[in-house]
Amino acid sequence: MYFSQAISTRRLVLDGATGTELIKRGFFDRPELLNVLSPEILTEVHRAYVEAGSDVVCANTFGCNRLKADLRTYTLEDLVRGAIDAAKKSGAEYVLYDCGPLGELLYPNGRRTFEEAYELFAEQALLAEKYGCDGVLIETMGDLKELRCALLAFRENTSLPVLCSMSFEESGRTYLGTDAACFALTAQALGAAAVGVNCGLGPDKLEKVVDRILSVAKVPVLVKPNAGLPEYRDGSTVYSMQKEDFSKSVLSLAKRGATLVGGCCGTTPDFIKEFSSDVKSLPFRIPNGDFDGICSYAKAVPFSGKTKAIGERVNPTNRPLLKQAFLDSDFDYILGLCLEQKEEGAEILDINCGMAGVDEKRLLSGTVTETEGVVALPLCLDTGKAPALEAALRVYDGVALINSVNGEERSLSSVLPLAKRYGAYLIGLCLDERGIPQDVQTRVEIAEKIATRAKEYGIDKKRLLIDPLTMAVSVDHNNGKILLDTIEELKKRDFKTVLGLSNISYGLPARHILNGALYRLIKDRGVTAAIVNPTLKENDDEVSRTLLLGGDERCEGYIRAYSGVPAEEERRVDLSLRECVCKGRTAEGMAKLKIDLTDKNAEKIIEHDVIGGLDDLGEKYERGEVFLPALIAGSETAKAMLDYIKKNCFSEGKASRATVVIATVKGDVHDIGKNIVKTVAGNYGYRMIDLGRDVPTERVLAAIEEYRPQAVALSALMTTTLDNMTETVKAVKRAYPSIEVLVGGAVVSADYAESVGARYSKDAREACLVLNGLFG
Amino acid sequence: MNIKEIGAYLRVRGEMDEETERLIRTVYPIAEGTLHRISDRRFGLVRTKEGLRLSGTDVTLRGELAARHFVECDEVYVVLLTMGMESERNIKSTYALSPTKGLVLDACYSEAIERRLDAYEEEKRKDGDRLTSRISCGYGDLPLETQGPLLRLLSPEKIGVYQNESFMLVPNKSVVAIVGIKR
Repeated sequence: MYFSQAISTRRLVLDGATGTELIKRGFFDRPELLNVLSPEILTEVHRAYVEAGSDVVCANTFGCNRLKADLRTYTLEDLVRGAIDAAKKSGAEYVLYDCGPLGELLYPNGRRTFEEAYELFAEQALLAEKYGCDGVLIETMGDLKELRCALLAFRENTSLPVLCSMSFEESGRTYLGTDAACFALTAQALGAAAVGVNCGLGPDKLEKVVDRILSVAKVPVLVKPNAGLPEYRDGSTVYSMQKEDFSKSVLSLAKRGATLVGGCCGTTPDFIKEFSSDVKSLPFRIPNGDFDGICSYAKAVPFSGKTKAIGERVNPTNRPLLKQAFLDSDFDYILGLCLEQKEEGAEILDINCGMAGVDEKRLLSGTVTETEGVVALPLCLDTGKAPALEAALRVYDGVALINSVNGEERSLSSVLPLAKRYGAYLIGLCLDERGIPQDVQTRVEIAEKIATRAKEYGIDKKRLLIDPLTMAVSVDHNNGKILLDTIEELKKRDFKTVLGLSNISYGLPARHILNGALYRLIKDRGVTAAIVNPTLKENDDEVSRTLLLGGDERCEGYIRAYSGVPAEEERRVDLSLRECVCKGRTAEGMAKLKIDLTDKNAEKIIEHDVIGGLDDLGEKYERGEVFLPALIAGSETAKAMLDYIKKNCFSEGKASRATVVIATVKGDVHDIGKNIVKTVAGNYGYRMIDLGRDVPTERVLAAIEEYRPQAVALSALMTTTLDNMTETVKAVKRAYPSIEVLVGGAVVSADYAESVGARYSKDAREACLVLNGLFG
Repeated sequence: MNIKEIGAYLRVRGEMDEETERLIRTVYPIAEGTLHRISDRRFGLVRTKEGLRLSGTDVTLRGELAARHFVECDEVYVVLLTMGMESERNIKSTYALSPTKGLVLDACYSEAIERRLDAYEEEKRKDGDRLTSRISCGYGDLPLETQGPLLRLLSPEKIGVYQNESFMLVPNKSVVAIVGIKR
């Protein structure tokens, strides 16, 4: 029987620890070398497990990757072949390739890119299949991104069944924050043959974790716990749990629904023997978790119950500041937009980077990578371009929602295969080659067509959310009724539904009232999700309802009721604008700015109040009357004001004073100082391109090519990184003699700066003075 | 919370202004609410020509600082403490919404690490150990390069700590410290 059949028809006992057994025999270091030097010892260990009742053993390949293995004498292929042969000789029914973590974090937590990691796993995948493994166990992972990467590499390069397992803490999360249920959803969506947990804890502490996995799993669940928690005693690691207690707890996990059980660190053949026959006699069933929805690495959102709000703000259409942020790779700004919507109640975030003049493929996947870990909400990947969509789906840590496919053949044939491959949910728009149909019937037919085509690709109708398309009532007063009727009809046919709201009120006054009324109506009709401004308040406004139900011809009633609805209430503020900046009072400053600002005084407000206020604050800081936090707070107020002025008074691309590339040099992660300079100088009107911390020279040079700055600002905090700073300054000066280089940070002095031909500033305030002297 | 120490990270000189204090009190609970993880081991010290070797390993603490600091000790604890990836995320997300608060939180985490290490030492003292103060690689003449080998003795990946190519710890809010156990 093939291994894939076996795991879906019966209970299997896995092996216990290999490392523990090798240490017992005196092998502490570089265990993978044994694969070539003493394979008979490995066979002996595997055989002991088989005799104890293990149906499956894992080859000694945990560390067989190019980063970890010692390849000075033997090739990776030698090591893998040796391990698999040794395991096969044990007489085990099934031999798995054991794939452990690379021991390095993937970008953005570490430097290793997804593609590089993929290659490291793909290399192992080819060898695993070549030497005849029955399957693969990816195990002891802490980072969902790395697990996905490995799973993709094994799935795309072999036809082997892949079992996936991570190490969890009692909280039900890995130390990097991956939630057990989200892991299971993500791995099975990508085609994992089984999901589960290993290492980390003893079986007595795993009940909650296993239950969480079982609640969503649709594939067999595996557990390989440690023999309790490790303790160091007399220079060596010991595991305290006895085999009897271990066996009792493992049996309880098996009864809960885990059908693949074994042990990890500290377990021995005696442990396996203790429970193997009891476990095999339990009845078999594949779990049938009933979760229906999407997830990030940390949060799962079900498509059941009340209407889910999808935040719409990360979309550059009509948002000049976001456009600029995309152009500058200013992910802080984008992250801010995401977090702000999360705080306002968004449960899913739409990410759209579609705009002229950018590499959407790079931008969308980059935005996903930079935001997903911090925001932790599931994402809706919003693009019409298949290459950009695929790049983003590849790196996204979770089960994504794709926005969107439509009834056009071109769209169906490019998007559906991607939805299938990455196990994503998908929004289907009710339009096709003929455009948007004017009637309910044709829209529903398109929905059916999308569902039929999706099914041909093996995509369940459950994974489809149909968007009936919201058209403005100002264009045709029946558009509201058509929309609502289409929703009713789709519901009858058991479709999930989703829609964007705001288009309904296009061209009308008091849009929030009409949008809010529609929000209530669609929620009452059980729409699955809505793409909205999360702060939108629902209402029962009668005038709006009449219009939305088709009873207000040419919107006359609505316009009569709402034309000239008073603007936002004006707020009295006692401080001057300049004082608001100086005191860091953002709310008051913004309220006042909205009243005071006109097209004519915009320049004056910037010069006199915003920059002037920052100057006042800078002087106070120099006199020691206020400290850094106050300096930055004022800076934030200034930034909020500048953003508002730019948005309202200038067309796009208003020239900044100068462009500055800023970075903490290689080897240094201390970026407080750099961030302060970035914030303060940014608010003095400089375009700041932030490369982050620990930045090698080559990246600074590449950024200069890309952004053509007038200045480069570098920070270093440790004596050990001063050499790296010297190297970067010299490289920049050599390649671009006309670019000004500013340096600062705890270990940098004016003398040092002079010696390398750079300009020194002792703090953010001084950096701005230097920049103003050069470009002001 | 040691508000003065947080102030020092924020380069507050002299009397702290009210606004800074208010900010610290606002964001400190985020750092306080973050779980830390510890991996530690106890080693004997072998005095050699090169310095103090941790027994059973090939790691040696070189330089005068270590020699002086552990003069009364035959054993040390090597301890890795991390505020976890959650601290990185919290700093990033707080910074994105408000740089001011993000920077203050960064400083709060630095202080929180010290408090947790204090608590760790307190536990050891309760168990009867007499301890020296703690030192880390990069202090005085104790080479920063020793941090990597020390780290590897502590199975850092089990608590989610990594060292990158530039010898820096990720999550950034992690520390490797050495505490002497007095005879």
